[in-house]
Amino acid sequence: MRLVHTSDWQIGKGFRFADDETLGVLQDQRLDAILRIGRLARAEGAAHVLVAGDVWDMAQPGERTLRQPIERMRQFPDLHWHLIPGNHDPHLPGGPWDRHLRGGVPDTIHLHLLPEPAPLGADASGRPVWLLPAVLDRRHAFGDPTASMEGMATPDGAIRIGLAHGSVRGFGSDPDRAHNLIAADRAERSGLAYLALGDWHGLTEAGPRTWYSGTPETDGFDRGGDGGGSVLLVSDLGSPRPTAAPHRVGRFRWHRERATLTGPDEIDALEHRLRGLDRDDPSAVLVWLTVEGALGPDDQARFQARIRDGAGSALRALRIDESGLEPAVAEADLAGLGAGGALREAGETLAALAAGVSAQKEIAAAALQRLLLLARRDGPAG
Amino acid sequence: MRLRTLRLDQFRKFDRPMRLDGLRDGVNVLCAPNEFGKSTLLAALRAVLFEKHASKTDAIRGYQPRLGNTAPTLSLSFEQDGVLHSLEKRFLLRPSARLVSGGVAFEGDAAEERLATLLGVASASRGARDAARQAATIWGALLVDQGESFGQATLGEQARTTLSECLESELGAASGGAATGRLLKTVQAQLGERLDGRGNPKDRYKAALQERESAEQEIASLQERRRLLQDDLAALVEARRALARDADPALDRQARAALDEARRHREALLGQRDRHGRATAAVGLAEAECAAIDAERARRAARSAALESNARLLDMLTGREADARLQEGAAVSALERGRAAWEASMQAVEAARLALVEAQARSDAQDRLARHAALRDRLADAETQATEIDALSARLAALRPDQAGILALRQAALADRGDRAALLAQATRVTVALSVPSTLSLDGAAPVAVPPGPALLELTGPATLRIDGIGEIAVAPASGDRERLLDAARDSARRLRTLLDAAGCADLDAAERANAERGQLALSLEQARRALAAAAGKDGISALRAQEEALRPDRQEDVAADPAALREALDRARHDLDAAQRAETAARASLAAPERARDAARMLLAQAELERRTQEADRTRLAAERAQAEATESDDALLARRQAADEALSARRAALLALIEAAPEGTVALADARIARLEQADANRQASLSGLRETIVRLEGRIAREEGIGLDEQIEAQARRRDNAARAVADETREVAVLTLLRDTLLAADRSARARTLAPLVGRIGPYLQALFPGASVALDQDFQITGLSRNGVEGEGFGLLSHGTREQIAILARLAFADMLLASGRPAFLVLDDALAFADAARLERMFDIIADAGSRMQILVLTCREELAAALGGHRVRLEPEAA
Repeated sequence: MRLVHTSDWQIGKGFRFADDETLGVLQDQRLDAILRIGRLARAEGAAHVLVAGDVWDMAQPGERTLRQPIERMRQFPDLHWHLIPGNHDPHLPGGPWDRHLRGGVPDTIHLHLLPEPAPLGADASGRPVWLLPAVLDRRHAFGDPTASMEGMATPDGAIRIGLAHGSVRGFGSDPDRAHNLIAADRAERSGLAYLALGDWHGLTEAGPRTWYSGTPETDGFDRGGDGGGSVLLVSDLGSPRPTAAPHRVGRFRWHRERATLTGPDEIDALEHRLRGLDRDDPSAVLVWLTVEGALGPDDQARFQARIRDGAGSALRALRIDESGLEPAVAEADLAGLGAGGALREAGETLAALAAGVSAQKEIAAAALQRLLLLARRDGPAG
Repeated sequence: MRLRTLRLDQFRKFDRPMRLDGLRDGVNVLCAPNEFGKSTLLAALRAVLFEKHASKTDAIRGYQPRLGNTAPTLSLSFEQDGVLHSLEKRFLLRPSARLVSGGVAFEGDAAEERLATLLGVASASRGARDAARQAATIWGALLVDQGESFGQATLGEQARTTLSECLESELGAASGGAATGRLLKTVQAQLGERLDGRGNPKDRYKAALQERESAEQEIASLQERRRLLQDDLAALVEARRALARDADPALDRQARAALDEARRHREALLGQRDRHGRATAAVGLAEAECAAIDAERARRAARSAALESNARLLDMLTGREADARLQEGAAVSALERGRAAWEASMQAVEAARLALVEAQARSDAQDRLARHAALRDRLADAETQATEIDALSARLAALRPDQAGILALRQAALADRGDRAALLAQATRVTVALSVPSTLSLDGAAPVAVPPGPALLELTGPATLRIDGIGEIAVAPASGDRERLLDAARDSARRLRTLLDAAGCADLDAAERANAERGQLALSLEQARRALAAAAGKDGISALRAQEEALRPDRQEDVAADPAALREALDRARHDLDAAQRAETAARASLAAPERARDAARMLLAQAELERRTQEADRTRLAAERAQAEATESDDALLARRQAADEALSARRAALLALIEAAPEGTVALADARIARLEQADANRQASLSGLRETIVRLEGRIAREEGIGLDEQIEAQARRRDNAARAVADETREVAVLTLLRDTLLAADRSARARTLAPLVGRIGPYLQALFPGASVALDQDFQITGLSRNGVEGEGFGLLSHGTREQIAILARLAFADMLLASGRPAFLVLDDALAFADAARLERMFDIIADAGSRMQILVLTCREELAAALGGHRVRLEPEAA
């Protein structure tokens, strides 16, 4: 028997930094990832897909958001989808699970809302395979949500597969956080052949026979692990150490980039680097760029043209933090305002303010850049 | 720029074509009287140069002649840079513009653009391209309307920029003022896109602020709805839990079993109560039977005892009755003796009373005699006074005059005296002093002797004074009123006499005396009446006479007895009667004791008889009852029945006791209460279940409505909207801060630079100023306004403090200097002055003419004036505005 392990779909997630167009694309791709997972499972002969919590991003999604993932899964009637609640969509009255319980879901979609073992079938050797779900009925459950797995009775010789959502104790978890903490040796203590976990968005092995699949479509920068975008194909369930093989299903790649800019060459290099993140499909790349350094008016214009306008248009999204980028004003720049006269005087006044320590320092620098730009457009002084 | 010809048609007052021809370089003078149209000419020049032909503003409509809807049409030919330009504009009706420059024709907007370029205002300010706003350009300083020449030209930003550009050209672009002006304009425009006139956000900036606020409000609203939803969800969980608890079928079964048990218990209690009642009733019946038999036996025993007692009592009562009869006989005898004594005493009392009556009669006769004597004396006195009153009354009635008569007499005498005095006052007074006697005959009266010596004769009528031995002197008084007075005196004397005669009196004194006597008589009469009243009393003399008649004694009574003997006999009779009465009282009192003894004896006898008879009746009744009872049931039979009843009672009591010991616990009331309680509890539970189900349905409905909305998703969407708006606000805020700082910095730098670059302009004004005010210099501010005038190095006079004439002259010099600077920088310029220099004195006027003539060597100047002498002195080339030749 083969299983596909995934989690943290977080359907309906909002991306506040993104513009409306990008937001729509990002949200659509999270849904399309379900199709890719289904196709992978079908291709790999995995009849069961385990979704380890956080199917939805919120406890009160809209009706369309509520139904969309179900409708995607409905397209695979030959697959069994096993879903449990996560901390984003805990099983609460009126929550998405409650609403689906009332409205009903296709038979191939199994909502595990009680901590009771459920049979998945048998492996090739005929050993029964049972699923042991942990259920979060609140956003933050005190204690170990998987504790009940120890007492869950299964037939003798059964292969026990755990499915849970939370942080593994001692595995990057906050020691002060006392909720949704899963024992690091849960698989061993509960006799699990495999423990499929959700919560971490980057694919990670959290212990013996214990894996975080990560989110199938990356939803942020710095997500840890592989950064997300993968699912795990689990096989060899009867062996002491089942195989968990990552398969990429994500559409987008999220990158954090840093650059120090002082001149045109570095700007050009940065543009090259950004475009090189995915030369075939830069529109699948989102970048959070942090720049620092100092640029003169010409370089500012170059930065605008090559990075903001150029690379920014090629990438799916380019988020720039330029708080560390200061305007550099050279004598030659001020010379463009004339050797004397009102413009030169104004430029020097602003330059002095920008070089000072006043609260207006940053505003003055911007005003100086603006002055130089306007003067240049107006024509050479004199 | 040199103007050559100007043609006007249908323009304001000119409703037919007019033409200004022959304009030359240098100074041109158009002299014409007031109302000729000089200011209209200047307006036409402005219109053709600066108004767009397609404009239809109120100003343009104001160009039409007062009568007729026609098209104002203007043509201007001018030279610039050696090229002749012909411009024609038609307004309002089929508006058009045509400019032919060096053989190249421009039509419509192209003509306007070309013209603007020639005027140097195209790139600077399209907004200034109309006559109303051309004042903002430097042309506002060069085309000077009537009355405008008195003050300095008001320079708009555009004009200042133009001047700055000229100064820069002179300074070799050192000031940067022109570029600064353009940048400032750009910055102002960008700021103006974000802030309104009061510095408040507008358009995109304002919209971002409103968007942020709206999103925040929406988030708050959604969060509140989510909170309510969570409350509903919690309430739903609780309601479902309560329903699951209370709707347990086991609870129903338990409730039904408890209720059935309670009802069975109540039935058992009811059966027990019935049986107990019946057993109790049986015991009661047996007890009653025993009691009835006991009562009958008691009655029989009591009856036997009563018969025995009755016999003993009868014997005693018979003896007591005989004793009573004896006592009654003795008491009656004693009473009869007492009554005989009492009757004797009553006879003695009657005899004493008769004796007293006789004695009292004799004493009364003696008292009447004494009173009659006193009355008789009073009557005699009263009769005397009555006689006196009658005499006095007769005298008073006969006396004259009476009271009315004396009053009439007094008034008549007074009138007579008055009339006579009046007559005498009119008398002729004759004073004589005769040495011999004489007589005087007055008015025919008897002569009166007049003794010798001085005398006064008062003559009221004709008189004759006869002097013995000498003769007579006749005197006739001459009073006019004398006759009337004399008649009055005679009338009053006659009336007095008549009254006196009626009263029987010789004169008034006699009448007064008779009146005094009358008063005396009245007084005496009053005294006599008082004396009569005192004697006769209040009832009068007649009553007195009757009293006396009544008391007058009979002849038998006239014999008077001895009063002392009479009183002694009377006292003795009274004493005897008193003694007899006391004896009668004592006798009567002595009867009471025998009467009481007799009554007591009789009462005892009657009582003894009654008691005896009663006992005899009881004996008869008791004997009859005993006989009847014995006949009904013998005493032995009754005793046997009593024993049987006692045995039955014991058996029933034992049965009742056994029933009580076997009774179930509690009472029917308690059982009823338990049943009611259980039924109520069940009803309450059912009601609670119903309420819970309703609550759940209601909550589920409300939750379902809110669920579908997807509150979390909406909140996320609104948060995103808020964040976007906040970023836009931050961007706009930063942009405003940048632009504001840039604007302020540019303004400060521009002012500073202008202050440094004013020197060329001051230099332009200098030569003109020296010609007019030797040794003087002016100070300019950064806006090219003259602020003050210094003479011979002495600081001081502010421009506003100078005289009107001096201010106008200096302002014209400044305009000349502006035109000089424009020309020097290759820009078009000419100057038009309408009715300027009105306040200049002759010397200043001459020097101003010299200055204008000098400037005319560098620029074209058109002077419009209504003063011929001024035009003549100014010289220059005279031009005329004339109707166009047909």
